[in-house]
Amino acid sequence: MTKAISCFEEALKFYDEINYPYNHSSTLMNIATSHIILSKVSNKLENILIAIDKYKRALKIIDIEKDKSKLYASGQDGLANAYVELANLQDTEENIRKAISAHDEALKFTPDHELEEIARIKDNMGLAYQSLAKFKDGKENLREATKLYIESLKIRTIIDYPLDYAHTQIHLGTALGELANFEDSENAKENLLNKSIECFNEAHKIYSQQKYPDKYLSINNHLATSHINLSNISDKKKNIEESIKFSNIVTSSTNPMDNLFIYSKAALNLGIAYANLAQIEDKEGNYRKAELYFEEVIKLLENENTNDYNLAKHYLEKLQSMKAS
Amino acid sequence: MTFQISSFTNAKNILNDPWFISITSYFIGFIISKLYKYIKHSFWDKKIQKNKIENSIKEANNLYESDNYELSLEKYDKTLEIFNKKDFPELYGIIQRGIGNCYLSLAQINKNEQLLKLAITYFNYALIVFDEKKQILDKGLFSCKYKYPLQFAITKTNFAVAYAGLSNIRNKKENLEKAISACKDSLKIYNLNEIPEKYALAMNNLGTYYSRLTEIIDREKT
Repeated sequence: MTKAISCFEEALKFYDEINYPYNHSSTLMNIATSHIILSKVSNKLENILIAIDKYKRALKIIDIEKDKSKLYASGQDGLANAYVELANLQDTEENIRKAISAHDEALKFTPDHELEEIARIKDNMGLAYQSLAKFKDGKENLREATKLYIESLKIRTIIDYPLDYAHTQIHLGTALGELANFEDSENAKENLLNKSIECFNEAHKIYSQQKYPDKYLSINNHLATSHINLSNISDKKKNIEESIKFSNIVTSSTNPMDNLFIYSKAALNLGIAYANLAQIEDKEGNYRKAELYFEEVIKLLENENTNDYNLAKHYLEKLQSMKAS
Repeated sequence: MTFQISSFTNAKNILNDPWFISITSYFIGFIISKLYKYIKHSFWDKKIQKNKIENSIKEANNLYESDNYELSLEKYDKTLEIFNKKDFPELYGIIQRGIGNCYLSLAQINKNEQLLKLAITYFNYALIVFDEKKQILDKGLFSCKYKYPLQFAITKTNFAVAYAGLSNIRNKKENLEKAISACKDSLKIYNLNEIPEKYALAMNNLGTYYSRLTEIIDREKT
């Protein structure tokens, strides 16, 4: 990547800001993008901050009154992605807000005929709102996210863009599932969870086990989670069994060596499903099974500071305290 | 001496001989007409033909500039019919590159792999001409230089763009490596002092190709 950056810097020797503002700006954006890619392998924070600085400098030069709106949109899109990366490292809420604002600018300046680009930006913007929902105004931000995913899916149809379609269906499915947690009425919750399951089933149409094994297994995990949540509202046993079925597909198709996180997620879902099943039948046996799954997740993820590790620990402690009482 | 006078007299007689005069005149006339034809063909006719080809290329270029790629393609094809490669190798190469450019633009619009491959084929035809080198004496030393350095660099740049396009469809790594190699070839000619604009463009392209290649390699690692 340093080779790429050197080449862009060579180009800047000719593309000065005064005589070639457009080329100067687009080359600065190229440098920024290279720093984002570089951040994935070294000096993460430093490279992301350089990228943000370069994007900002590039955007300042563009005269949006002239025929440069596409470049401006592309710069704002890059800046948004850089803020998303920064949000993973520091000031999460503030940086996600900045990302949303940059995505919004990118959308305003993307020409109407660039449908693919519009769909992509809307999908990314939906993800940003979904992340923001974890910090503030959960319901409103998740609604905004689902709205954007649905708009994106109007362009990303199964026929024209099958992979993008499946991608956004997964995002919509997870957003609907999260939104269900904010609903008070059981009916609304059930409705949202069923819709979320529909989305994951749509994604399954594209991400088949043969062609996309990882994606396929990951969708099974989503389906397992949705069925567990649905089991708290209706058809408890049937939904728990469905959840176990989907999780078993994952654990029997892969192993922790090949797919640590996907396998651990399935094991966690199995733990939760058996803990819930224990409330209906074979209390002792199912609690034991749940315990074993939570212990397995803790063991597998003990060196990874992930949400699933914390959840498994939390559920195991809860189970053990229930047993003690 | 007598012999000499006699020979001279004989020679004088021959020069006055109407047969000799008419045969000699015929031969001289024949040689002059051949010479005229040769000069006319080599310089005058060729110049006219060259103008004709150049005008035809200009028309094809204008069609290309106004995004009429199919019409431009037709014009380039027709231009190829009016001359042969041996007479105007540079123009032949320019036309082959022009055809390649048309296919490249059509491929970008239609996102068509076959059209991209056709573009590459025509850039290769052009490069057969532009790859040619000549010996030149430089500061007392013979060195090998490209016969058409600018045409070589322009074609290599377009060649790189076509391979970069192909890398979006298949064999990402291999095709990007080909794009990088072609771009580097063009930078053997372009430099910041003499051809800065093209140098900057080629550097920008090269940077983009490196950036994409690194992304692919990183993804492979993870």
